[in-house]
Amino acid sequence: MVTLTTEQLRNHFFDLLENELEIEIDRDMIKGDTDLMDELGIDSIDAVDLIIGMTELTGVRLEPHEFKRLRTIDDFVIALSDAVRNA
Amino acid sequence: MRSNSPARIASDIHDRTTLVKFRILTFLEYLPFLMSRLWRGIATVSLFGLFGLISLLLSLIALPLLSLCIRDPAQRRSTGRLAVSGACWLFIRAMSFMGVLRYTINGRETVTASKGLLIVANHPTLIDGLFLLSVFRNSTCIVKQQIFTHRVTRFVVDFIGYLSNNDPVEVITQSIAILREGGNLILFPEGTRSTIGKPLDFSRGAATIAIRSHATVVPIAIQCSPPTLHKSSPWYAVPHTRVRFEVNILGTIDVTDFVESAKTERSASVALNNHLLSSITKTTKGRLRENA
Repeated sequence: MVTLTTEQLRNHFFDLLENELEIEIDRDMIKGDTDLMDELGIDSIDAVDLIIGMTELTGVRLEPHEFKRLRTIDDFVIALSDAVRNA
Repeated sequence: MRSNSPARIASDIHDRTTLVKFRILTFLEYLPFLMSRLWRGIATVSLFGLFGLISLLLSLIALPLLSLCIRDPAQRRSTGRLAVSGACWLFIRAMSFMGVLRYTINGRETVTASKGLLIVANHPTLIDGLFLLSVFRNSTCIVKQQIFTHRVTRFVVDFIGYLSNNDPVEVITQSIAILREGGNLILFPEGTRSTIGKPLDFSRGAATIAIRSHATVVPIAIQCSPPTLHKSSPWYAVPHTRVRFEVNILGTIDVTDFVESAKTERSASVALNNHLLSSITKTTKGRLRENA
């Protein structure tokens, strides 16, 4: 398991968006409360890919019941940050 | 314009004897429909009861016996799936024999391969899976988590290696693994039963699994008329007329074309998903064949 800061998690999340999902983002403009589905056009399969990508980095898996409440970038980063801390 | 309904005609008859005669004749005219509906109601309740009994027997007797006789887990799973497939076939044959429904399955000859098939269908009714399982015998399904926690059904789904829909990450990774090993998988990309009156909407999951596993895709369009056993209809609600099912197997799709013509895996899966959605939607909008 890798210990990462919230900022590192956020940056890795942006890397996944750009490299894996090929979504163009402006890192300076994008906000924590950006809605992943409505504003970035992410669907449920993209969300699965993001979870797999973040799991590979942190070694921590989010519980399935947590998936549905992940709406924004901050939701993702905070959930992972909590999961890493509690692991 | 005034209607010619029996109630309207009766309101125009003022002679009592003529009115009684008219009511008796109207009742006799409708009697066959009433008897047919009553019979189909009795048959439906009996057959669903039988289905529950078969599930119980499979769970408590047949599958435990199989696990004692067959040691190899893969062979045990495969034999268990054949037993389930046989039970599904028996159930739909019994429904047809008892007059609850009529059905046709078209296009079986278009599927020549028997391994590594991803079967993708729309999901208008509760019993679609039974038709598909009776045709594609050694197939895995993705089922609701509740079935894995139910005291009767959990043993069956565990034994035959069905997947739970509880964890989307596991669903994707295990589905790909099953198809790469040559197994068959049945998927309903709507995720739940169709909503009557709304256009079909497919999640990209099935297409993604197909692209990543390079499975052969078998699109299937299921039609049911009149609508029954849908999302807002309880299993015991009997339609006015006998139900007609048509299961149309729309050939096979080699995903290589989609992979090669797309820049990314994601765009390949989007294109495949759109193709599946349009071909299945187009067929479901067509009229049922008269011989169905």
